[in-house]
Amino acid sequence: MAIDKDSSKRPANTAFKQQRLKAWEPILTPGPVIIAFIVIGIVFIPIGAAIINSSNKVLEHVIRYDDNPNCQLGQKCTINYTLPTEMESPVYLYYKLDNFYQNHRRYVKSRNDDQLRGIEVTDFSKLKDCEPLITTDGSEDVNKILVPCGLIANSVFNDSISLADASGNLINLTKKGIAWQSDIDKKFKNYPENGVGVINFSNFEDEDFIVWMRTAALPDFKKLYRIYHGQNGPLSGTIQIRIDNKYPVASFDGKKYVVLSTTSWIGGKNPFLGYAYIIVGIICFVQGVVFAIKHKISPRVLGSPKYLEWNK
Amino acid sequence: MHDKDQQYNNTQQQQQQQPSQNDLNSLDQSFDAQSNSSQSNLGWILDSGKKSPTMENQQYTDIPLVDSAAPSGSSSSGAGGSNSKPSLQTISPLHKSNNSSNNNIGEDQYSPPSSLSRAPSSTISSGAARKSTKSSSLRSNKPKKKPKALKKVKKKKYIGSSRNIFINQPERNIPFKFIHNKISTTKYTPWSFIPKNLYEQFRRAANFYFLVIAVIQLIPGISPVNAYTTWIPLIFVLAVTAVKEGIEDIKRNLSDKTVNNLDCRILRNGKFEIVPWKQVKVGDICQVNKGERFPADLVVLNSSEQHGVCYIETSNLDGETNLKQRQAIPQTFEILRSEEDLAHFRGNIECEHPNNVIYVYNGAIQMTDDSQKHPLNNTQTLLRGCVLRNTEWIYGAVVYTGEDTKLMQNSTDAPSKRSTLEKLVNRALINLFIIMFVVCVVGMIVSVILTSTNIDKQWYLDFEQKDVRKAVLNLFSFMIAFAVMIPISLYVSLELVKVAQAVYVGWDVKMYDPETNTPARTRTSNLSEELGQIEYIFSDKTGTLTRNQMDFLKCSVGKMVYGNVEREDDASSNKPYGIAMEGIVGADPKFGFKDRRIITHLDEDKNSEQSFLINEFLTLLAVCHSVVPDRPNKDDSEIIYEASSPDEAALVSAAKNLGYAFYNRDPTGCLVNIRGKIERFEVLNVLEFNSDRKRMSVICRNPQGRIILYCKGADTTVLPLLRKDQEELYSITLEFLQDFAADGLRTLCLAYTYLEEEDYQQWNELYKEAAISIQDRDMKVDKVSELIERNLSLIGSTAIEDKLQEGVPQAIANLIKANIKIWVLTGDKQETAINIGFSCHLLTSDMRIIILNGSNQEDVHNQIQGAIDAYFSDDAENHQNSGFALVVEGSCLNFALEGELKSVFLELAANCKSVICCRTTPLQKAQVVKMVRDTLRAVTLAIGDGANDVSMIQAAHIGIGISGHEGMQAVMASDYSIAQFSFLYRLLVVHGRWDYKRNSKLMLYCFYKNMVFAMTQFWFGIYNSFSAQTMFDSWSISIFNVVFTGLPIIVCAIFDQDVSAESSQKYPQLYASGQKDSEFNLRVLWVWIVEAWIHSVVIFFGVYGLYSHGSTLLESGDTLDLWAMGQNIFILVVITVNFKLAFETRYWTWITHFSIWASILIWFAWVAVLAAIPGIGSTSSGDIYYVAYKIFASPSFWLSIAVLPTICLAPDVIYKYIQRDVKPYNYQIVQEIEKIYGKPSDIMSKENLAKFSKTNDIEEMGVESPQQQEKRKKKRIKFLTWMKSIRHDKVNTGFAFSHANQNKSNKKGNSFK
Repeated sequence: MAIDKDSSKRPANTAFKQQRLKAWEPILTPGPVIIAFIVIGIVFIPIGAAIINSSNKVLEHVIRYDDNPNCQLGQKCTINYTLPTEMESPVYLYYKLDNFYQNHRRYVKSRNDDQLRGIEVTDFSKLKDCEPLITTDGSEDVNKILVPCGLIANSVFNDSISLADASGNLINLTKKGIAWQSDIDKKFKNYPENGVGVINFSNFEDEDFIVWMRTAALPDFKKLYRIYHGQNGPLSGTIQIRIDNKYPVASFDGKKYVVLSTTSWIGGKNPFLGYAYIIVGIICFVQGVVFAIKHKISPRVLGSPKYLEWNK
Repeated sequence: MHDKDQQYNNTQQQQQQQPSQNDLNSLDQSFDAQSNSSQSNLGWILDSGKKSPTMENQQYTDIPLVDSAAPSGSSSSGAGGSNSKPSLQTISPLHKSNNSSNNNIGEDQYSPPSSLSRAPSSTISSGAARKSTKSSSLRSNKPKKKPKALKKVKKKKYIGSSRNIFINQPERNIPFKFIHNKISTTKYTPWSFIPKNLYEQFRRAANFYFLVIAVIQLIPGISPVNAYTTWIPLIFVLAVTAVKEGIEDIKRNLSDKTVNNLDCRILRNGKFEIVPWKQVKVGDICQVNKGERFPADLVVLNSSEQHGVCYIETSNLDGETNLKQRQAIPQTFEILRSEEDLAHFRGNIECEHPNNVIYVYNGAIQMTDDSQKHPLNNTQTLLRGCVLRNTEWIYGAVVYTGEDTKLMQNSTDAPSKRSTLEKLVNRALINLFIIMFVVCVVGMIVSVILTSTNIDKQWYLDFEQKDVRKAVLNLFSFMIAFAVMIPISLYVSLELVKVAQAVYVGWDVKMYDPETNTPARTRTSNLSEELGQIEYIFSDKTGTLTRNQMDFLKCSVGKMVYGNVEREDDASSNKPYGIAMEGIVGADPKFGFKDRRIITHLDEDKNSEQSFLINEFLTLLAVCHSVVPDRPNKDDSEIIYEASSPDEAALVSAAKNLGYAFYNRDPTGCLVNIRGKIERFEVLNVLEFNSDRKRMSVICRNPQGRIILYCKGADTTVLPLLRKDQEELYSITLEFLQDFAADGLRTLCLAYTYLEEEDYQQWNELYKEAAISIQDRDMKVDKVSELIERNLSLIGSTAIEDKLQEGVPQAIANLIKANIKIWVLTGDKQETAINIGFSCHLLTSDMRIIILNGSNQEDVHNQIQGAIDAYFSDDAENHQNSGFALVVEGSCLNFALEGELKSVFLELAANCKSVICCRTTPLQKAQVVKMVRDTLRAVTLAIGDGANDVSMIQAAHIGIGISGHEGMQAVMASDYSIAQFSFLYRLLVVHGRWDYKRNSKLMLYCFYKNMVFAMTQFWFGIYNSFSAQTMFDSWSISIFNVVFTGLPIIVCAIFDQDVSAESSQKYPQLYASGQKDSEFNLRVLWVWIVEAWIHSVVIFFGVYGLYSHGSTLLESGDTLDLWAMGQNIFILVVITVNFKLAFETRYWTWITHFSIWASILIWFAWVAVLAAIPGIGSTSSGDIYYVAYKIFASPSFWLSIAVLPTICLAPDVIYKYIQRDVKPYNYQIVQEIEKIYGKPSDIMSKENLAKFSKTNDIEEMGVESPQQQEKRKKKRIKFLTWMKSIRHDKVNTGFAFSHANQNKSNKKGNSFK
């Protein structure tokens, strides 16, 4: 049959069109699987160990103070805390809140980024984000706009914490650097002093404020408060924690802590990942060995047609 | 009880039919049954006439149908009355006891006077449905969703019961408001596109759901994420589909435009003017030149040839490339010779309203100056789309335009089919909706409780009393947050994948047939996975299993059989049988019939009976047909016979090769070159073939001046018409016929009778009356024809071989191995069918063959029950054989298809590996398919090539058309078209199996990945007091499905191969998984969903472990916030789901690699870009400025993305490994075989097929032990013995159910399988 080339409808016999592209065709045969599991085990266990090791080297002290009888709400108090070992600088001072839902949907969205950038926002449709705290009394009056508006900004953690050494000398703590530099640069600018609205405070570039405004992921969170850069050498012995307790948490069964912590490459004290690695590593290793033993003792013949159902 | 009575009536061949039955319903039913049985008994070989399924719906009415509006009502009402009324009263006297069902023509005595008086726009007029010539049944059969599928064609309603057209008087046609000739096949207009397309799309549950979600999102304060999270994917999904639809529609529009603006010559103001097609109007006179297409449906008035004859090619309409002859009626071609004649011509045509029955046209023309009406029929019609050939020009009057033309009336969409898998997906979606709803309600309830308990406590949230009530609205917030659980991209991905799969089917070079230059084609792309789930194949025989190239092989004339005694002709042996037909002018040396005795006998003794019969035999072959001669070289050097069926062509060329060459046709006669001398036979009447009559007769005046009727047809329809004194010849011929049939040949009986001039004239009057009637003409003509076709003298019979196509036995044997049950539905006789069954390996020697051939309900019931009791009841176990085959006679099928027998019949049939139904009608074919489809709930596939298979093809889940020799009707109705039956094997086990697995995986995976993603948010709800807060930024959510997880699964679903194509073919048993729905069912879905839950738990709580207690994750002492945790979780989801897919992929092409790795990597780039835009973080879409850089700086982040996916997927791998080790699936073993031994060779390749056919061995190829070879040899011997025994053992044609003598021998033969 002579069919000239143009009219022939014969499909091109290419690898792509004939579904014969070169391909890697892995299947779960014993060799690769056993090796893969054992390798995973061998790699993961040391990693896990390294993480745990680093995590263990991190010194962390968590001191709850809201239940301290000396520290009633509205009072200033001092808690003496003895460090069992000395803490090399930098030491990070955090406050930690428990059972505080900063990630509640009502809360997370309740802010106005423009306002926080120091822009006078008077358009109520734009301020809607700040619900339910837009104006002081809920009316649509430009002059009663809350500055800053929204739940987050109006629930800023306002306890003040400072550290003193055993002898009562204040330890020099740095506030600078506790917030993300990117936030300081781009997201927060001071509100004009004589701007529209009821100005609670206008210093939006305050790093404590910026830290608070970055909402935490989970209801128990800690936020960086101050950094000790070690001008006085490592922290050691008994230190005084001075707290101005103003922030009410009792109503929602919240807890307040002061946290002193050093860091390592992995961050703070959190062995979770380390355990995960070690457990996964061990399981994979054991599994690999079990597979290997099974394969050694009673291997299944690969590709034997007798396993085909219709040959049985 | 009533039912029984009624069925009993049917069995008695309707003599007891009582028109006065009160129950109209039962009357309808019995009428149906009757029409079925009347067909089923007819064993015409050219079994391609077709009956419309709408027969079932037709109304019974006993009013004779007369067009009262017709001016010439008197004559037509006379005809109608005389024919239909007596028929009601006739009670057949011709009733031969029990055996009558086979050889009884009595049933035609009662013909239903059915109604034509349905709405003018009715799909099919029942009268017309009854009649259809061989090639004439391009009729849209809509077994399902009839009204819907037809909706597309705008049906204009015309008033009155017929249309009246004034020729050349445009102003008089105006009141009728005929439709213009401008056509539009587009689905949309520019204005309707958007609303209509959107409406179509939103009919999909998932799309509509997302629309609802998207609208809810617009309500302020409810949505936890930005509105575009839903709008972007939704618009994307809608746009993809809309663009696809739009492109298709634009293409249609362009082609419409081209067509509408084609030029044609129309008589305007006395002159022919060139106007575009769209301006053609009904009643115009039109001139069409050679090679041009007809702009509308025309009635030919005159042509350039003698007697107004013209030839047309109808391939655009039905795909048949042979020329068809059309002829003007004398009354017009005599007076309309020139443009001037035409300009003065006035007249009117009365005809049916537009309908979609091609090749049936009933009308009458009346000249203004002539009181008489002249009938018009199909011979005068030139249909739009056809092309004028071999004729310089024609004049025609336009009768139907635009949407009214037969072409447009037939251009309906095939019934839209949805795959089983897609239906399952909808159930899966419902499951998912329920899960999602439960999750949302749980979230909402908890949220309400928490809000109300904490209303005074959480001062920082500033709750008011109304917020408790508002918390109820959290339901909607949750719905939005979890909307991602429903995979919106599923349908789009699936559509894309299926398009690609369809393209791959067309690209498969192994399904390309070089001989006909046809690749495989997908016509319905959304069924690709259905190909992997087929349980039943219903196959036509002729042209599907066989080549449909007919070879005239044997014949019997009188009491002699001619033809090769052995079919394998030995060219070297010079026996009297082996000599070619030398000395005959124009004889084809390749002519397969090599028995010279027929010529010798013809010449030996001119006065002998035998010589006379041979002469009549050959004359009949040369005269009694509807073949058109074509002379490509314009001279007599070569004559090609254009026949609508290959059988006819074979017979006519056989006559030619034996010296009786059909030379030419003129309007009233037929010229035959009888051994060099041209003789003219004046053709008086042609009683055409149709599927009811299964015979054709020609009444002609032979050169000697005697009127003779030649009749050829199926034995069952011809033999009963014989004269009484033909008993001896009758029985001898019957024996010959059985011999022929046993060889698998197609047989026809030939008979003649001389007519007396007077009788003929009398009859001719009746015939003319019938032929002139406008309505119910076919039925009336049939009835009149019966009056003359009687007292025939038998001449002999012919036997034509229809060779099997290449690779058919191998394909069938392998399909059976794939656990597919094959039913062959053929019009052949039982013996022919059984033999074909053996030669194509549908039946094997170690099968028990059960034959059902009872002639009444009771018999059939007993046979079925007997077979079931004997073989399939509980006591009858342990059969030492490899299966059962069932052979059913068409007449039994009628009983088996209805009422109480249906269930037992199916019980029996379902237990048999293969079923052959002989002597089936097209309607029965469709009924059988429907029965299996609906009752057994099995996935069915019908494959066929002819118009008679259309209803079956449309009834089955998948219809496959063989694009071969018998026109395009089957292909047009099909979902896939292939060139050869053997390609079906590759289509099913390679493409079908792959596509089923791929698409199942795609669906499961889409559900899975979205579930993982959505559920992490649910777990997060525990820690945000179910406030529906999300931790992902809206931008990332909106492209999760498209960018991060969309491509890999699409690539996987297009390219993945669990085993190679060659292995799929070598191990057809692998196919079974699709039949069992084992890749996608609710159980598997739930396994995946639970897995998704586990993965989401691991991911969320893994990250929770990292972030809990406000963990410091950076060496700089910073803590990370909500959005950082969200991004950490997001990438873990992306990595986990992509790796999950990686473990599900086995065929890693570079595209696969690229898609998976790129999808993961692009996330890093994406968040890095997002983090660089200060303004990106808005309050509602996530405060993500700089977040990415923070987490990238955190070692914990990197460590988490190494360990958590491992935790997710290690159990998966462990499970898979153990499963493979302990209880491997078949496909896994095959994978290993491939890995170790390499890919097998293609068992369906040409070389391998050749090897097989030489050894007659179609078992497995691979290396085999001598033992196996031994076994096979034995088996083959057994098979051959059986073949012989069945040939000689004629007794076995009449027994109830037979386990022929093969059963004793196969006790050992079944050991390997």
